[in-house]
Amino acid sequence: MRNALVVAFFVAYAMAVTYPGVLPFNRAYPLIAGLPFVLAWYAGWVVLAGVVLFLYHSLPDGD
Amino acid sequence: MARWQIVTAVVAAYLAVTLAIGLFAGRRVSKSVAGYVAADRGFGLLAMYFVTGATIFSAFAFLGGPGWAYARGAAAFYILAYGVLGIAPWYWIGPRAARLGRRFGFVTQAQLVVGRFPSRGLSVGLAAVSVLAFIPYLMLQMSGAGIVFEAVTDGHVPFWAGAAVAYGVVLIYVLRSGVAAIGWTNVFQGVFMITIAWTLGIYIPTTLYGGIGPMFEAIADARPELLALPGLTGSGESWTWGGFSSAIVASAIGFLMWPHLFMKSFTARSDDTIRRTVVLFPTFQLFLIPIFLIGFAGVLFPTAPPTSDFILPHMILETGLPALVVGLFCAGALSASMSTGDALLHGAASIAVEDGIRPFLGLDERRARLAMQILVVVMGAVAYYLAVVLRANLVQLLLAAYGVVDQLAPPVYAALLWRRATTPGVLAGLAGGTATTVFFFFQGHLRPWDIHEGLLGLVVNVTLLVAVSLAGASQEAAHADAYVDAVQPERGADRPTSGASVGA
Repeated sequence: MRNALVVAFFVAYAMAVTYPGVLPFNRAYPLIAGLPFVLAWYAGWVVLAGVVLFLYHSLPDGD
Repeated sequence: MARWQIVTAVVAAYLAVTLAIGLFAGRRVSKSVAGYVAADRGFGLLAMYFVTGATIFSAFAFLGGPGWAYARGAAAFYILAYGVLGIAPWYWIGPRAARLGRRFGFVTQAQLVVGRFPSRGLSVGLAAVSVLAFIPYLMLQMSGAGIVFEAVTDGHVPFWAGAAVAYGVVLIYVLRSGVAAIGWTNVFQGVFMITIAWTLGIYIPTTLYGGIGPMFEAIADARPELLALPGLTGSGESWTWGGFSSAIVASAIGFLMWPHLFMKSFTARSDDTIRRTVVLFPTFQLFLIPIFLIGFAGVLFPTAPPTSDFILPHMILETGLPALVVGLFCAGALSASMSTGDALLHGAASIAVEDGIRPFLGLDERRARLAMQILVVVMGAVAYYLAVVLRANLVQLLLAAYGVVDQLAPPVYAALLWRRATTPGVLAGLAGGTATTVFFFFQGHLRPWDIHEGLLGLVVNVTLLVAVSLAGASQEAAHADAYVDAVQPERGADRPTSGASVGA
């Protein structure tokens, strides 16, 4: 279960940053922390992946 | 003191510290091959984190990265997208590789693949591909060092001398201490390059535009095409979605397969060290944000650099920053160059000896180590000669290498996950995949939907690997099990079943 979730997360990540998944987020405004929206979208996935990996690594085994 | 002298003094201080760390690092490592190539499997989290990050981010970070954002806009975001996707599988396969390394004494990626799929031809082939890919990569790092040095000292330190001094330092510490030097110098260099990148990435937009938000508002007004995916090509036309998306996927698959990076699996002290390195890697990856900010700051800069890769040095020199800051920038750029160049130099020599020579000549440990040290000097000299003396442009070879490195993914994953894979299957897959990749690299207009040639090669590679393996006799169960069952089912390591996906 844990493994299936983390694999699903990375598949979602790959789809969200490539065509066509990224299309709805492909715009400059609103700026997020000064960054164009689409750049913040990419940065957000990097941060989210860090959080997911951290949780996966630190939470105890078992479903 | 003239301005260029202050800059040079700052850079000299940086080089002296790096050299001292590199020489000091090797004192506690054994004189064996495992000591020289894998630091006696003793890297802790700090060293692994910075080795991984600093090796991945090369001179490209300070030159090519801003150049992409400056000239190609949002196209550059693909670089931000693939890194974490690419390194995530290491969380699972890194510990497996490390355990096999401890059991069978592997120190290179090819030893792992050839251990499962015995073939001396495969061993030599993998060694040859690695060295061919590393030489142009190393040349770029050397040129980068020379170019930056020459620019910030107004030509007082010429191109050839800057490259020679920076790589002289690398040569000395790699010769003396092997991968242990790479580990500890990369900690220092990694901290340095991250600090410099974030400082410049915030400082330059703030000075020129009054902030990051105002900078992007100005760009959105004047050059909106730069902020919309898939961005532009190098010649300024619109890039294709197929090209952009498949570049992300191809780079993510190939990411771990670069032999100098994969072989760091064998340097880790424990499985948990590798896993934690992966967990922390996104923090290093975010270092691309300031790199992009620097490039975007150049878009509306009043003057243009000679080439887009020169945008950062150009702005630094044109904005009249204090000499100390210019020196620190130069040291940061050298850090990025040297922390990748050292791993390439060391990796090329180690791989040539372990995979290219030792399967044929029974070198003992002492001779193997000596042969590696000789090859470090030879490879360094060859790269210097090609890059600095001949000024050969082998960027094409490096670009082709990205697709070829993708072809290593099916053999590596098959070795660790698929019992039914066979040596003929792997050989057929590699040959077909590599030929397909090279063909489409040179016949780019024939690629469907502008898809990256590495992915096209993978389709052929995986098909052949599966078909030829299933058509022939399977490997002895005990042999295959030793690799596929290398994992005790501990945390995060689900037991693979036969027929598990290949090259995923």
